Amino acid sequence: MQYLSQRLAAEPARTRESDPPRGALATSQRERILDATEELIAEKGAPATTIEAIVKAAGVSSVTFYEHFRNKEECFVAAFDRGVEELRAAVPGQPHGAEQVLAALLEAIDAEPLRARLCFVEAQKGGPELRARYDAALDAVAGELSDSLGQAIVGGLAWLLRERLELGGGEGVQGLLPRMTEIVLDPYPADG
Amino acid sequence: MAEAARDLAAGKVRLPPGRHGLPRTFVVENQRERLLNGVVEAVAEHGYNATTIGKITEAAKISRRTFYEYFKGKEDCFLAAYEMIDAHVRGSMLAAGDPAEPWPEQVRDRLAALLDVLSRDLAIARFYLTEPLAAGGEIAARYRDAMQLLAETIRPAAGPAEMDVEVRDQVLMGGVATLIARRLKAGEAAQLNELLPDLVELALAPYLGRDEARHVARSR
Repeated sequence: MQYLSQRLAAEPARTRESDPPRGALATSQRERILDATEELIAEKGAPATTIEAIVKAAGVSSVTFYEHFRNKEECFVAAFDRGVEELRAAVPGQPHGAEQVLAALLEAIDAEPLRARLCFVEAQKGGPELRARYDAALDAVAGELSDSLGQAIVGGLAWLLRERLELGGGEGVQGLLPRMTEIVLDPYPADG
Repeated sequence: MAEAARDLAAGKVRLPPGRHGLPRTFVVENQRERLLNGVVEAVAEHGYNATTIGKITEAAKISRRTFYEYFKGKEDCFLAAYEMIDAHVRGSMLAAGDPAEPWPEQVRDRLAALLDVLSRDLAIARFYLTEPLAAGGEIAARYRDAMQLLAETIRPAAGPAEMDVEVRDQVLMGGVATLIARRLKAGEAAQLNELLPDLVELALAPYLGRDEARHVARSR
């Protein structure tokens, strides 16, 4: 079906006619726009987040906004991609075991709850493009696991995190570590 | 006759105008069912957020005025269709498991019933499993309840005492929904049945251990 490869091939969404502005000022403007977007989406949800509110919160003009992004959706996707990148950067790579990886992920989530809310909760409600992004990000993680059962477990853990972030009343997710680890490591042997 | 009624309900044919001799209750059911069918079609095509009452009535070939005789709005109509589908899906799962057979067999039969019911209709499967989260609010809450109830149909009577059943159920249903949604997006409703061994293994592993679960899931 080539589904995963299609998603991965679609990785950079840079179809803009002109390149975005460069330089330190532009970078800081872009970061400020993404910070504001992250915060607004986490608080109000993607559908209720407007460009007007974003530029106001970021302290930039709407002209500046359009120098960086063609529209709201493109900005949302950029904010989501940045969030996922930073979550992934917080997680250690190969030689580390499942428990260390999960611990680092949960810690990163609790350190930036708004970012986590954007990435795990609101991304699924923000329209088809953002949702496709969310699916692609999960696929990228699951793609490192060979079998579809591993993919199911990744989907299941993401589901659990979403439920906790959305309904948990801000209590954080680090308390889930033992449960998540046992799900990944299968602690109940046949003689259990 | 059954076929004619189904075509009517599916909105494929319309009632003849004027005095058609059909009892009033049938007309009412027919219109309501056509609207329910319309919301499923519209949501599968446009997604929940982009679905409007106009798109629902267009798909149902029923006037907007009639829509408001049955439903308060889009959410109300969505929830009514959701109830009907959910009752059908859960009913199919419950009917599939023979209480006399061993629990792992029951799990297999019920998950097979779930995949069977969803594989028959792509639009219904999307409506039931992938759109509610995008909708949020009351619909997402209803969806959570539905997933929880599905998980309960395949839960053993007694599990390890130290197990957090709520967390297990969430991971299980999240995994089931993820695998199914992946196939639906690829337009592979007809091949949903191929997922059965994975789903069975996922459901059994917490209770039997992974090796035993794999063995049971891949046998037969």
